[in-house]
Amino acid sequence: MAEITQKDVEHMARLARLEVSPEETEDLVQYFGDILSSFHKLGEVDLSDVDPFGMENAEARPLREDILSRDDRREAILEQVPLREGDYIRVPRIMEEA
Amino acid sequence: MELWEYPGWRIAQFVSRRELSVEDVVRSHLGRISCCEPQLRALITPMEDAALERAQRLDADIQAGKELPSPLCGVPVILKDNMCFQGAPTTCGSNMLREWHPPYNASVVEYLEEAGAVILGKANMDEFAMGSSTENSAFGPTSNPRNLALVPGGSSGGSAASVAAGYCPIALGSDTGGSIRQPAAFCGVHGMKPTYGLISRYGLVAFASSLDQIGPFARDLGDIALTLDVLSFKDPRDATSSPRKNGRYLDALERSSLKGLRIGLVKEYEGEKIDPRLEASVVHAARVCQDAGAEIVHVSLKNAISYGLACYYIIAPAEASSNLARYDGVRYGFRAPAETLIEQYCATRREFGSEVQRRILAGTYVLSSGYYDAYYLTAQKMRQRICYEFDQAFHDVDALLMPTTPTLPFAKGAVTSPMEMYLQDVFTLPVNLAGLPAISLYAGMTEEELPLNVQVVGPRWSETTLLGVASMLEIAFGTPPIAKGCDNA
Amino acid sequence: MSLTYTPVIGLEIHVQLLTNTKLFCSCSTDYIGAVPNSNICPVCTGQPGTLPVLNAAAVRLGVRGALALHCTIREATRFHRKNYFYPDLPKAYQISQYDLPLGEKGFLDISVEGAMKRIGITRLHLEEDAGKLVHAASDGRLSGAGESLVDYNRGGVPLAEIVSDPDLGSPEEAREYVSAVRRLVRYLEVSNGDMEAGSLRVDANISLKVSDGRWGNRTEVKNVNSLRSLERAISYEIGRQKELLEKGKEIVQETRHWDDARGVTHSSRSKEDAHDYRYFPEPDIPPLVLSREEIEKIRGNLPELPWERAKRFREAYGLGGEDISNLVEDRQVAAYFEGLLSSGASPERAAKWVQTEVFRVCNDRKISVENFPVPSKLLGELLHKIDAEGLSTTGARDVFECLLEKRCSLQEAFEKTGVASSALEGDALRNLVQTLFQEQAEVVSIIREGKDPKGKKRTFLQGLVMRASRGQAKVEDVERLLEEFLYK
Repeated sequence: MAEITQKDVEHMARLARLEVSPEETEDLVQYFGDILSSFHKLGEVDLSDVDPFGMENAEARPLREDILSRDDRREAILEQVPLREGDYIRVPRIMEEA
Repeated sequence: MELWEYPGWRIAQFVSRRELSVEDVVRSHLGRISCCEPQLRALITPMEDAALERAQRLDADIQAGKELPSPLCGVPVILKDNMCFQGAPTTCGSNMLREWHPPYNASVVEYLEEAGAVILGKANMDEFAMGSSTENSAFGPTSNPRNLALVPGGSSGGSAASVAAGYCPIALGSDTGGSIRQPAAFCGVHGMKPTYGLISRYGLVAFASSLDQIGPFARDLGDIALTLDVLSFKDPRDATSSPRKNGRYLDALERSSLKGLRIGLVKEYEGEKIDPRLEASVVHAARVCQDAGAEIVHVSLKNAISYGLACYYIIAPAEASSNLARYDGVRYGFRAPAETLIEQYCATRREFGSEVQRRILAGTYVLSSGYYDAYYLTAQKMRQRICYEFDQAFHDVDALLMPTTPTLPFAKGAVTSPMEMYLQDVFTLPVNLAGLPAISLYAGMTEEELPLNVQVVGPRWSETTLLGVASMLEIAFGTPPIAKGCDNA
Repeated sequence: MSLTYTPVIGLEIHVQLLTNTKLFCSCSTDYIGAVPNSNICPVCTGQPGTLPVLNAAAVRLGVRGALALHCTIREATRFHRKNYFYPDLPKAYQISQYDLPLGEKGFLDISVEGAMKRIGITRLHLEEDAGKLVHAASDGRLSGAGESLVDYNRGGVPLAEIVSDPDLGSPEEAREYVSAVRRLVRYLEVSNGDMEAGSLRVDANISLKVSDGRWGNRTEVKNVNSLRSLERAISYEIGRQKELLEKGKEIVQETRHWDDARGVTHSSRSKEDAHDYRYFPEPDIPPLVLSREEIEKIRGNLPELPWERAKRFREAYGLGGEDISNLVEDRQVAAYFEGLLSSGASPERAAKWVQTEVFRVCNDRKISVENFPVPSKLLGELLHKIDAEGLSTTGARDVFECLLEKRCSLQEAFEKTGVASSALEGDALRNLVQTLFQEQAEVVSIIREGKDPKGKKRTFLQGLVMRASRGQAKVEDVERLLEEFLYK
């Protein structure tokens, strides 16, 4: 398995909408190197016959009935909105990338 | 004896017999808090006014002869600051939510208030529950009440410290990979993580959804049991909540012998680097159980101990990376001003601390295209293996004994490498992977007055067995004492 | 040697399900016209600590739709998180389904130039709708807008996504397929299927296969809001791709936005990592397990499906293609039609009246057949009288108009209009002719005096009789009577 490079870290950061400085990127490359080598240990075990999400033994559970419930917390929710315009929530300009 | 030295169930008795007013109880505990907080800094948001108001209302109801809430009437409780409680910020130890007032209450808060409890405040924690020392909080670290130079453990360090210092008899924390049990061990109190699904997660700010569980800290096993009784409900707001229990947990403590029980000693921890004093505690605990009539057997948990860490540090960050994507400054929390949306996202999310950032990136990586099979899928398969391994062990034994932590509490700033910090959880996180219940018990003190610990793990829904074993062990190890060295006296 | 370019088209259709509440919370799905951000709760705004709880009715409707599309239903299925950042997505992930969809490997038969074509359905799955962004720039796109405003009312509404195999070969086929899906979901009462209102949305995947073996890349076309736009957009895109391929250029695999006003597609942002959705199973929702019994129960409750009804109408009533299309299109119309039949109307007459009179009134008054003022029982009885009792169509129309206005009983309508409910004959007719002869004494004289060689006056008289009888008299009877009265 490949080593993590600076480019990989930058790519992950973009995917996660995180800004990382060059120093942080260096630390992260080191960090990734450490954790990935522990992850690679998992390859020592034969897991080919394992059902990863337990679908085979899944049990039926009751679901929510389709009954309307008016929520009275609208104001409390909107009060916490950082940038509001009347009843709307405002977001800055959505740029489309070239 | 001060009011703040009593267990919760005793306080509830005093109050319901009208031997004490709730206000007296609350004032006493608030006094203890103000005495110790400058040294400990266990709380992010103390809630004196709200607590006194509630106390006065409860007292008025009592005076008016109304039916009293139970079984925690007048009992002060502190909540880890990742549980939504209206009327104060729920910060998760993060700048991201420093000012966020949740528009709703967590289910556990509703259950506690129905039972009569009084919430005293919100406790400090590692940011978004990621950490094992409470050093990752945006509000500064909490000190260990047993020794102020040391960490209280994490991520529920503030809750553990609160109980150890006598702020309250009961505190709630959350445990994803050991975040209740490890700080309980470090602070010398009891801490329990119930079976996944026993207690509703609705209102617990998610870190890793398939691993998170809420659980109690206390100095008294009766309080642990009582809290489980109060909180274990099938909550229609949480589709993963599905508690199964027979009768009251409080009754489990009536046990007078462990005859008929088989208890497993986990072999593999002997290979890990572990403090010999903690190893000795486990051996001691085994002997106590044996004396009480249990049969001691050796069991192997090879996959859990060897691969649990890798498995956990793939799955938990993966889920976290998704759960924390919502913090973007649009609907709530911190917002960095920006000209464009993408700038807003990136500038806002700069507010995450470095451990959170690391885990989000790791989680993003293991889920990303091309790596999902090698990492995330593989980890989930290993997880199933670990579950199976525990299942097999529990065909043979009723409970397992092992240490909670490999080390005694360490000094603040002593553990700087993330990997080293992750190793703290080697004995706790396999339990979360398998969704099992486990309790970390106070196991006496070292010569340097540092708390020892022992962990009892059981199959799903076996909280009663665990409490039974715990009550036997408590006879030998004693009730956790309140830390007195943190007073400003 | 000229090359041919064969369009290969697949469609993704999203339909909003007709449940009372959203997919994962108990907020109402009735968001149209609501005050922005009024139809929300902590769950559907993604507040920290909240959890999704699956709606049982949405599952049932999803299974219903999948069964009607001949899909195999998965007995144990799972939801997945589709992770991406956009302001209309409150949790920064959409709860959808990935590799374990609710229904798979179905088909829908459509009629293409009189022949049946089978369109494969790859899958049907459930997912939640996003909120809405408004305050866009004039071309409908958000890029270039100053700021955007978000409304989460629609966020969390249940959707069924129906993905077709790339079996469609032309814009017309695509249109026919979408019509068929729309008809079906309305029949099933699974969705309103309204493209203009947004309860049925279509994205098209278009590529061209070249006869020299080349296969152009696929583009996805979004923002198509009507059947007509769909045809135009696909047409345009096929043309655009063909032109590029003819010049030997590559088709960029991307998402394109249809600009209805200008009739072109634009390249949308194609964020290189926009497509790494990092799907993983939704841990907050346990696997969904459906028993055989539950599935069969839903199957048993399926109504007669449009094509089954069409077949039955063809076989039982001997109706032709156009009639059937019109009668079967809407379940209400079909029901009304059959209501007429059960009150005695003949299929041909009922079919005609529904397509002319009933549709006309509905169009004029902008009402649906459901709200048609004349119950099918009454109209059916009226139509029966035409066939069985010799009521004339003109007379029937008069009675019909009266029923429309007055909403009275059939009896009352006949009385009010003075239409004879059956053929005018015997003494009644004699009296009518007699009265007319008195009124038209002059004309009668002219005829009797032999001054009507071409019979024009006689025809005139006959016309008068017919008109006075509201067409209720039989022509032969009138002729015979005239003969009798004129020359006896």
